Amino acid sequence: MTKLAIAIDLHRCIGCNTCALACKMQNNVPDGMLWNRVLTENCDIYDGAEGIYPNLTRTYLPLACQHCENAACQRVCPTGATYKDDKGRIEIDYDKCIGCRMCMAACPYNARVFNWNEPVRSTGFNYGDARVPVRHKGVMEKCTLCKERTDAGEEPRCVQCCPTDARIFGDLDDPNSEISVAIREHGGYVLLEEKGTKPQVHYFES
Amino acid sequence: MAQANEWHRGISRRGFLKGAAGVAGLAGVGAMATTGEWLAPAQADEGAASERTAFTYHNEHCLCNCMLKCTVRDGRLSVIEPRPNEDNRFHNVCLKGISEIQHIYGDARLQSPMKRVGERGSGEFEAIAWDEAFQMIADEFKKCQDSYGKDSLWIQYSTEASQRFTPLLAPLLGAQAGGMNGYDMGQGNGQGQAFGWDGMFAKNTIWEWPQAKTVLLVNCNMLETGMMWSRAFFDAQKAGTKMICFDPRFSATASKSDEWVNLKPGTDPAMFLAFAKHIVDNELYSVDHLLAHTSFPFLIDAQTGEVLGEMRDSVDATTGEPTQVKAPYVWDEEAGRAVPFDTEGVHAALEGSFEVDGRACVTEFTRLKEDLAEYTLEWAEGVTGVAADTIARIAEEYAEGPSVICNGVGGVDKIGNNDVAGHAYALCASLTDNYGKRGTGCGIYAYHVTPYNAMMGAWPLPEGAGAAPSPMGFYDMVQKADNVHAAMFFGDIPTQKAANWAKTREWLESLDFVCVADIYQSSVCDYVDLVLPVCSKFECQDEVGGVKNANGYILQNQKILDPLFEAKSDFYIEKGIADAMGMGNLYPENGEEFARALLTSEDPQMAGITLEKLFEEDGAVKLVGTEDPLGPEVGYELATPSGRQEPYYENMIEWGQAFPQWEEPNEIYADNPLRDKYPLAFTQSRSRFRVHSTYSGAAWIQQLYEPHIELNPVEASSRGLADGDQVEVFNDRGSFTTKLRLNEAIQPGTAYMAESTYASQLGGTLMQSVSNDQLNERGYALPYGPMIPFNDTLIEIKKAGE
Amino acid sequence: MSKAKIAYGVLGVVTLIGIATWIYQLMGGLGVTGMNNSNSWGLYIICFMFMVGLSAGGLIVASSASVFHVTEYKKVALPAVILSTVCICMAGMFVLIDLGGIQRVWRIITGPNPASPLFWDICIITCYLIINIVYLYFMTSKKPGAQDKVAIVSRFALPVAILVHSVTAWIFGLQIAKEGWYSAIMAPIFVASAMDSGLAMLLIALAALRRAGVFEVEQKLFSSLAGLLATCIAVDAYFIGCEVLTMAYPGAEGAQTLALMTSGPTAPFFWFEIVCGLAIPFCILVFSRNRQKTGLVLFASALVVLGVFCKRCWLLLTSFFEPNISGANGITLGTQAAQQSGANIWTLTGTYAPTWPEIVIVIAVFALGVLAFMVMCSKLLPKR
Repeated sequence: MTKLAIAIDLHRCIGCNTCALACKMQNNVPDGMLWNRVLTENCDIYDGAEGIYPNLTRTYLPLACQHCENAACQRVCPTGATYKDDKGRIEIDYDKCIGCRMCMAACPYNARVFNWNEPVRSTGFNYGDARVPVRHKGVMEKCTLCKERTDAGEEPRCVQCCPTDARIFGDLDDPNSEISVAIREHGGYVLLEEKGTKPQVHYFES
Repeated sequence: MAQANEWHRGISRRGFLKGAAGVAGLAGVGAMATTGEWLAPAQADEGAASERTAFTYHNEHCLCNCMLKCTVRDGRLSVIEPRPNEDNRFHNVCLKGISEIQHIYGDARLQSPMKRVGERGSGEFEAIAWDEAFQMIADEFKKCQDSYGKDSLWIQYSTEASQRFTPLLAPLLGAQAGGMNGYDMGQGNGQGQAFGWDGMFAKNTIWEWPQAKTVLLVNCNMLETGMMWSRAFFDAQKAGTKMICFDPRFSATASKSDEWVNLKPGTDPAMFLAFAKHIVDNELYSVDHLLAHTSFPFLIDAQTGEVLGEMRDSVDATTGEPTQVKAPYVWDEEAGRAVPFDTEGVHAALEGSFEVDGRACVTEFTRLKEDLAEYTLEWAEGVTGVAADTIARIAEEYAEGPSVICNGVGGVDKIGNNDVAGHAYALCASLTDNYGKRGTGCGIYAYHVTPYNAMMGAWPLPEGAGAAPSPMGFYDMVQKADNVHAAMFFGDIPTQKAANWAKTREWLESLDFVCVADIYQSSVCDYVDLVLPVCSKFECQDEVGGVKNANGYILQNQKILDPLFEAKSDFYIEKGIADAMGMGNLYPENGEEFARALLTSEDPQMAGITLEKLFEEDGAVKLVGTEDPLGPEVGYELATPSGRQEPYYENMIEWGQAFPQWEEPNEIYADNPLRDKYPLAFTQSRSRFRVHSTYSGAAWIQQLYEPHIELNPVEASSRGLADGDQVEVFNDRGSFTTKLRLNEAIQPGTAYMAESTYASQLGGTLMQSVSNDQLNERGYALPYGPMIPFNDTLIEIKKAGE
Repeated sequence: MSKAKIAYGVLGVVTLIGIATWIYQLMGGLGVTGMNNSNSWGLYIICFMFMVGLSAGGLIVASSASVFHVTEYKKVALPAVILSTVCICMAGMFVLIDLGGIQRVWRIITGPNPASPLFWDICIITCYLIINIVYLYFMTSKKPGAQDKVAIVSRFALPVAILVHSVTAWIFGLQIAKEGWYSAIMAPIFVASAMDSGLAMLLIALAALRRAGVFEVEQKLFSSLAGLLATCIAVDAYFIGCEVLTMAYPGAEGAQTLALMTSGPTAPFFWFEIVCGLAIPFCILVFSRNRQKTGLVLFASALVVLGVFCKRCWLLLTSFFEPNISGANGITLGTQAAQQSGANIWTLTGTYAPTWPEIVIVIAVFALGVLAFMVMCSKLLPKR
């Protein structure tokens, strides 16, 4: 089996948002939403800090679909539009999505975004990878783990563009893959482990 | 195929019309097309999706010069990605690069030449044809130069709007081309002389950091501002290098460093002077090093401080003229007398008072000890707010080495005592043998990181052509009387390169003619007579829009797109003006001819690098013989007069800064009575969301970052302010309005704002309205002139409209 | 013109306005509502839960009449089932109106995911509707033996009625993502609040029918039903009490969610439900003297119905308020305002306010429901 995944080194994440915009570009993500966003964890201002000056800490947390092994979104989708594919990615078949947003309510990570309106792009044209299908109003979308790129053996765009090499992409089912080795070496954690969703996106601090 | 069809449905005409309706025209410019309208006709051609790729380099202004691969589909820039490069260090793009997908088509683009029709500042313009614009410039330039002399015309270039080919207009017209910077070289001013620098950059590279044990990051937020070099930061950290970040604010870099030192703004010199004293007091130096590589044993007059030595005949390196240089004396302990420092077999005394030719003298080291006397750890704690034992421990870690001091050009670089800071770094580095050998060094590291530079060719200019010397920098021109009567700026120089906007504006209004060429409608556009639209870095008329040496490569700007709207590249704008002035024949025919001239060089590093080769190699060719990423070791043979490290600056005796001496900042010093009125020290600095004002208009970046000023929550309640309030930031110089955000990362007593945002995003006000423009007189005696103390600014904040 | 005709006219016009607004929503997308990526369900789903609940009371009363041989309830079985049928249709309409891609709704039939509670819900609501219709058919049938068949149908109707509320509850109660929803007691609570609100609604409907002179209800039966309502309120309050205690006691995450309910943006709804939806009506109806007074019973019933509506509001919205993973800049809204400019795309917490198209559509569905109820009553109830 193949279980494609991403591991993110939070120590190397400088909160630059390059991954967020790279994803937006690659996937033709319309205005008003992002598939991949970066949070300053537990702060209400970006680049904020936890604690009281000068005893401060800060974590930049890039957040997108966690491609859970036990995906809540997939379970609740009434039409099977959200599915786990043979490479271990959670994908959406836009033609099957009826826009009920059950998956959105079910996702503990707020990873999904919905086309509430007909998508608008301030460029006036569709940018990004030509292989990425265009979505219309009324369908759910989210990180596909760059399906079109990873199917062709390329890295996801966020991984390719990360200026600090904080992201590792690979197959969790291959014990010798860079990602498996990194997770073994650094330990790390998954988000909301207690929910039992078994995310395939891992976070660690080198 | 199904997907391809879907694609075309996606860009239906309807989508475009909708886009057009949503895009507002530029303020007050009725004749301008909206982006949507302009883009619409191209859609008439609905053939099969055609894709092509081309290569360029980008973000020169942050000096990262990312090599980019661009995909153009149906004539639109669709994908920007790092150009594949087996050298991972140069496989880069950041959010700003990617945001260009939208930015270059965005609302902020200048679209056609525009002539002012209302008052200056009214923002009323009408679109005109290029020919008319060129003629207007030609007439105004001639009128100005005929009336007031050639040097009455000022033509200045910024990195954003001018670019890829060497500017020729100022030299051809004999105009002034801008004098000293007035920024970015503040610490360099005090640092360089010790090591014989010709600039402010470190002489080795960031790739040496893994060999360092400690790196002191001083006013350097490199993980935001020079993001491409952040790999080097983390790789060094992984290799065990300890990063210690000095910043009043808990910056991104501070949060990733091993230690954050939250000193008060403008107190960096005090910190480093205390380091120096602690190092000297505890003998954390190697006497052998000081005797062998530094000027510390040199003898100086105990009264005047003059360096004693014998005059020797020499030849001036630049002019080739015979000259005399001083060979400083040291005290030979065995011979019991002063001898030139380079005397064979000399046993120089490091310390002591002696008498030479009847003059009482001491060694520089002895003088240093006297000079440092008051800079105790406790004193430094009082000034910097950092605990004495922390200062002592860091001094010890630094002295142990190998250590690096990496400074940026924010923070103290824009505070009145910046040169003292730089001088103190050099002093510490020299004292502790942290300069010259691998894993040591000081200066700016996080920019333009390469040990290799090639001498590129040039376009030949006629005999005698050359820019007029600028007697003063832009910062001075706005304050003092000068002979400039007309100006042309490529990029928004007036709001970026001078503090105190009210004065800058006065100066602009005193001019007979001002023209700005820019890519975007930056803040200054409203205040000029003529605005010209410049191509973004993705557009050019010719197949090649520029070639450049950076990062150990020759980089090529291939054509990605034809010029958008009516924009022209700066090269063709210059050429158009030159044509109208009857000098067009002095320009290269086109970009290709210019590029070939620049690639014609004797430099062996450029051997075999031709235009064809650049196309073949996707727009970047590594310089020949530059395989070693580190380059040669800096070593101990320097370009100083003695060839040694010379932290004692004889030329600064009259300023009391032969060795660095603590000096308060110009305005933000603790006891300034002005603090009663304006209690907050205001720092502007670069963030990852801007390169100066550029990207202010990028919608994708606007989505991530909204301009705002930040305060620590403790500063808000006493002022009756709350998070998200619209506030007025003010002092006696002026004011601007913005949004207030509260952030625990900001030092109490200070206010922080990411620099340079368009006036249109601050309710028509400018951040530069409050910034301090009082130059330190000492600056004129320094190699790079006085620096604008942008961050040496006290302000107060209140709710807007109160 | 008779009052009834005026009422038909007004309700018809409101319905037409609603249909026009719905078409507007279909053209513009769900962006015309106040929903967004941070709070992805709103008034429509609140009304869906509410209507499913309201439909319960009727059917449960009607079917208990047969199942448990409570003969006196048999008299009101027919209006009860009419009410139930109308309410469940309205509930179904709210689900469909809430879909972003209604043109692909057939995908549920061609490729259902049996694990989805929403799929269960669609199945069970369809079942429920069919049972209601069959029920109505036999109840109004003049054929011999129809009454026996009513008894048979009622044996299915009762468990299906309980299931329909349970499944609706499971749409929420099985979601581990939302602290405020994920609870085993969600289904019993839904059944209990369905029973009290449904019964209260039935009482209101009966009073209205009596007032309109369409259908006569004895005061004794009315009071007896009010007594049953008091019991249901008590059961509902008990379940809510269990839930709140379980959330509060460990002082952990549940307590935070509870704090949001009791003092956050949805607190007014919470307190209205507790005070006006449970405490006051119970205190009124617990005294048999009060149960004799139609006015007081109606007042209490109205409070119960409103209270349960408020409960749907806080139950749904509170769990959207705080994202599990918090931090700036937050969640991208995806709304029209977010499409338009700058930093408007973000929200740190769930944010929602219904827009006018949403409200108009909801009012129209209610108008259509009242209209349908009036028409069905006039057609199906025995003429006096």
